[in-house]
Amino acid sequence: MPDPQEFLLLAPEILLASAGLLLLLVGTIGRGLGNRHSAVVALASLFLTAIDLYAVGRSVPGSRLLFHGTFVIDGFALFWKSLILIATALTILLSIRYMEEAGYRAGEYYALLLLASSGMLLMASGYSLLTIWIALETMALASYILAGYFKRHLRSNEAALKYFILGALSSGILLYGISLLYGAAGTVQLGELARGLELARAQGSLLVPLGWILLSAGLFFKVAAVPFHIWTPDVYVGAPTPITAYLAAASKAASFAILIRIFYEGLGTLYGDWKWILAGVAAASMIWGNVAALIQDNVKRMLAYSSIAHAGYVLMGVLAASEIGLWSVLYYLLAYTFITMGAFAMVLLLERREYAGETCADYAGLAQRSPFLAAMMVIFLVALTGIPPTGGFFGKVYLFAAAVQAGWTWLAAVGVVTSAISLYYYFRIVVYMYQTDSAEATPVPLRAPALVTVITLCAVATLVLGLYPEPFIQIAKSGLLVVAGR
Amino acid sequence: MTSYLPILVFTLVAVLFLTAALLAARLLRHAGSASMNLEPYECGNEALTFAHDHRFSIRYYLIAVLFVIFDVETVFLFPWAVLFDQLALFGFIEMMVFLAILVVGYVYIWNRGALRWV
Amino acid sequence: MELLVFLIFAFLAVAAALVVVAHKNPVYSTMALVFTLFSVAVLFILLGAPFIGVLQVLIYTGAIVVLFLFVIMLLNIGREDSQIAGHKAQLFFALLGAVSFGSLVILALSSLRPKVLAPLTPELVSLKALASTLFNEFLLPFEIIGLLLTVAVIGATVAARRPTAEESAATAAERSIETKEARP
Repeated sequence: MPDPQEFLLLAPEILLASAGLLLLLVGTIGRGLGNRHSAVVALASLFLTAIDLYAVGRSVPGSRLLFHGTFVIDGFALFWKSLILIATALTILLSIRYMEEAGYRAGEYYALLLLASSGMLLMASGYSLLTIWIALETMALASYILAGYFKRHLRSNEAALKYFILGALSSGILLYGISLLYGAAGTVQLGELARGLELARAQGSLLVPLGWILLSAGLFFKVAAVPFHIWTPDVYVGAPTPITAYLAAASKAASFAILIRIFYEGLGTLYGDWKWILAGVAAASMIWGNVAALIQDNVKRMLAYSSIAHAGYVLMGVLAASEIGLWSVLYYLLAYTFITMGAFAMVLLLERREYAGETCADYAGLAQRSPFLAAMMVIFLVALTGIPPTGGFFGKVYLFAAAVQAGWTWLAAVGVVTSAISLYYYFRIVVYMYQTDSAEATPVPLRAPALVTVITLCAVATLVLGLYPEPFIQIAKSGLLVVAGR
Repeated sequence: MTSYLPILVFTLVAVLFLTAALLAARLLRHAGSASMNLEPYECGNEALTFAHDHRFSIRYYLIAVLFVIFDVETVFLFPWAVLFDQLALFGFIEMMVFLAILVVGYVYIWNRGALRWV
Repeated sequence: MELLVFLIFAFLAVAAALVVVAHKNPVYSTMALVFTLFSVAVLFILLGAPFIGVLQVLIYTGAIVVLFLFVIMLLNIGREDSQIAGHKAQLFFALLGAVSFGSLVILALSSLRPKVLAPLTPELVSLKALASTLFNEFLLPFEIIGLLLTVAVIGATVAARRPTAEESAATAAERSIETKEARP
């Protein structure tokens, strides 16, 4: 029987999941809580979870294994959990007005968001492949439903169906990989797995490479890296826009959390084997993501390809497997969360009924109509390209530096060249906004104060991260992991 | 393993019996006018539509999915019951928490009217 | 004797699995799937894990295949669309994938040293050992499964529930707007 204190340390996850279940129950009684009240309850529970998380972080210095080594609390987990909570809170702020206008029941929507996020928190802390996989499935199932939440819209149906079928397949492959690794090492606990795999590999067992290749294929799917990215554009375009933002920020962060933990702690002893695959996937993601984004006319679709490209940049940092590599990954994803949330919030603001207002041409003359919004959009686009003075700039510089330092100069070169390519499609929107005239002269209606708040907040965060990165680098450095066996 | 032998024999006998019965029927039955016998109403009324023209209601599917989910839940109860005396109070609380989470789902579908047929 | 039973059911499992993939009529495929799953259950029993074998029959053959049949009836697929199935390139890549992956698996299995893992003993796969591991060591994953199943319940309900009166009204309103917009 585990120590009762262990349950106290699990309190943030328990709190968030209970809040989700409570919201679900209350939403079915009579007419339910209504959209606004549900959102407020969800935000409040996120806030309480964050406080709780802080308390847990204070009471656990260093790292601690719980529940027979299936769960871990360390700086790495706490970093991702904070990031996930921030991204979820921003998603809820984006959703309030959107759900009101869409006319769908809101109770389940917010409940599912909270349940998905509690799955993500568990992923960030999972230290056994089983915990990680089940938590991942909790997140994934909730995401499929959220992507298809707009049942009356064909594009939403299509997104949910594609996401579900491909997601289920990738989960199956992931699980198959896990079972093979278990067969080779006799354990699913990451720490023991690293040792067990080293031993099995020394004995020449081919189960080991087969297992980790399948495992990493599943993980690459979850972070949307080439060649497992095919679902991304369709799902990002079809899902309700706040959910797209959620997938691009929170889901991606949680998936990277498990990817890094599995590669570093579980497969760390096989670094020499997997580095080439990771390098190939990183290069392919950077190249294909950026090249395919060039021809996209739909902004959501373009951002989907851009998110594939960014997964490539992040993988480069993971590959470096050094201290600077890892904290630059954490810093980069911190910045990316704000940037991508802000960019999707802009898409949301310009979107009209159904799916109109998503093409590049819809941004024409935005600088005349609403100079403030156009300026915000420029900040996000500049940050996505990686130009100072934004968070995206330092993130990329550190990632490239880490890659060069670790001897991956060619990969860093690919990164620099593809970043230059990305300048074209990001700035196409800037040109539309500032150089062309719009058919309409009226300012874009600022439909919801929450939406504008999110946009401003994200833009400020992006700028602060770029102008004054030092404290954030310190935060990122609190979440370091060591590659096992190095 | 030998304790499964009767089951194996039983299976074999079942398969053999079926095969024999079908084979015997094929050999003995009167040939011809088979198409008429395959009509839904053998008494001569012509069927207006085919079975394939009607889709199953989605409600069957919903009930089936919910059945599978709660079926999986029940599966966990069995090993728990087997080891109940050793797991003691802690195991009891553990299972109650698990069930409580699922009861939330159950109350949800109940309140949302997913179990109501009409 | 055991080897003979194994060979029979292993052959049945693979043969039925091939029918699942190859048969044009989805109902036949599903029935073949019953065969595969049942044969695998027998294999579990041969390995000394009768509980897993029973679960296999109970959940997979009993519940999940029924679900498959419901979906097939629901979608009303009489026969597979011949335009999609049997596409030459599709067949080629499927075969290529199957052959390369199959040979990889065979290679991996043949490289397996028996020393790597302790052999399975009846104590290790017994129901009590299973329960003890599940409820002690994997306590946390077990509780998360509760959460996962609840999310699945919500998902099925959200996806398949009939719309409420207000929702149908909203759909009708949207439709009428769309047709008005489309007219001129």
